[in-house]
Amino acid sequence: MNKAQAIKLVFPAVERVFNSMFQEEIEQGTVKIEEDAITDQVTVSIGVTGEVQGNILFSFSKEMSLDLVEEMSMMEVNEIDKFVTSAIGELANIISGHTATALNDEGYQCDIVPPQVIHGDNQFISMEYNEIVIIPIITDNHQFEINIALQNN
Amino acid sequence: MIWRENLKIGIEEIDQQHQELFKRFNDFIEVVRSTDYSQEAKKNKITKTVDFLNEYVIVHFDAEEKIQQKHNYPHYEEHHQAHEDFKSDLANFKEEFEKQAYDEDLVQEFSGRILTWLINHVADEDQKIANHIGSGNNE
Repeated sequence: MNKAQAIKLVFPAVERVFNSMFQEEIEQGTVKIEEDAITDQVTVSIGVTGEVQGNILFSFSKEMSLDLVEEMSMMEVNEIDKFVTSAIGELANIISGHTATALNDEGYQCDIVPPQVIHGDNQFISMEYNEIVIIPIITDNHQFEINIALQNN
Repeated sequence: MIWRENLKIGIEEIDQQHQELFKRFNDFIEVVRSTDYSQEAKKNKITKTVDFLNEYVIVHFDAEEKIQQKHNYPHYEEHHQAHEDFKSDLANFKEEFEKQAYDEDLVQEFSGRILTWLINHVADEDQKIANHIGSGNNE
């Protein structure tokens, strides 16, 4: 999947979720194609299966993960624990669900696999393909990356 | 979770139920995240809230789905399925939770996921109903 296709597929899904859930406008940073994914403290991997397959990886900093969960729960959250990783995993799941719907609307039958969340330093996560479109997403106070490795089956 | 006016869909019955759900779920998260209670006290409080939620979501989802049907909402099937999945998730959690001693990971994992799910469902999915029937803030 090339840059333009990946952006068209994923950006509206992220925008929809951040607008409705956090009342935030988002911007897209400079999109790159790399062989290795960008990971961070909280990384969520979502598998895509069907006529388009591969995976989508969401990389959030510790600060962003904590801020998002604090905003949703209205409670102070100081550590990355199961509550945080699960809430962030579901957020990535919802965005990926919209992405899968967009693919289905374009005529590609596909589905997503429940999220896997990896937390910690020095992560190495292999993706299904080595041509990864990396879309930085800039929010009011943070930035996170979405790594997209998808191919038509 | 904070209730805000623009989460209303413009149908009083549903808006009140959403506010009640937010209130109850906030109570639930407060217990889940608290370090002030013993595990036994946590277990009792969580059991009570989950029992309440289990019954309340059935009433609320039914009310919401009746309105969708009345207005020929085009995404009814998809929305109904999301409600059914949520009910199963809650029922599965209840079963697992009651089966054993207090399982911190199970409780934290479930409540984090439901926090995000519930906010998205009310802030996004339910607003589509308001857009369809022309009752909400976004029309």
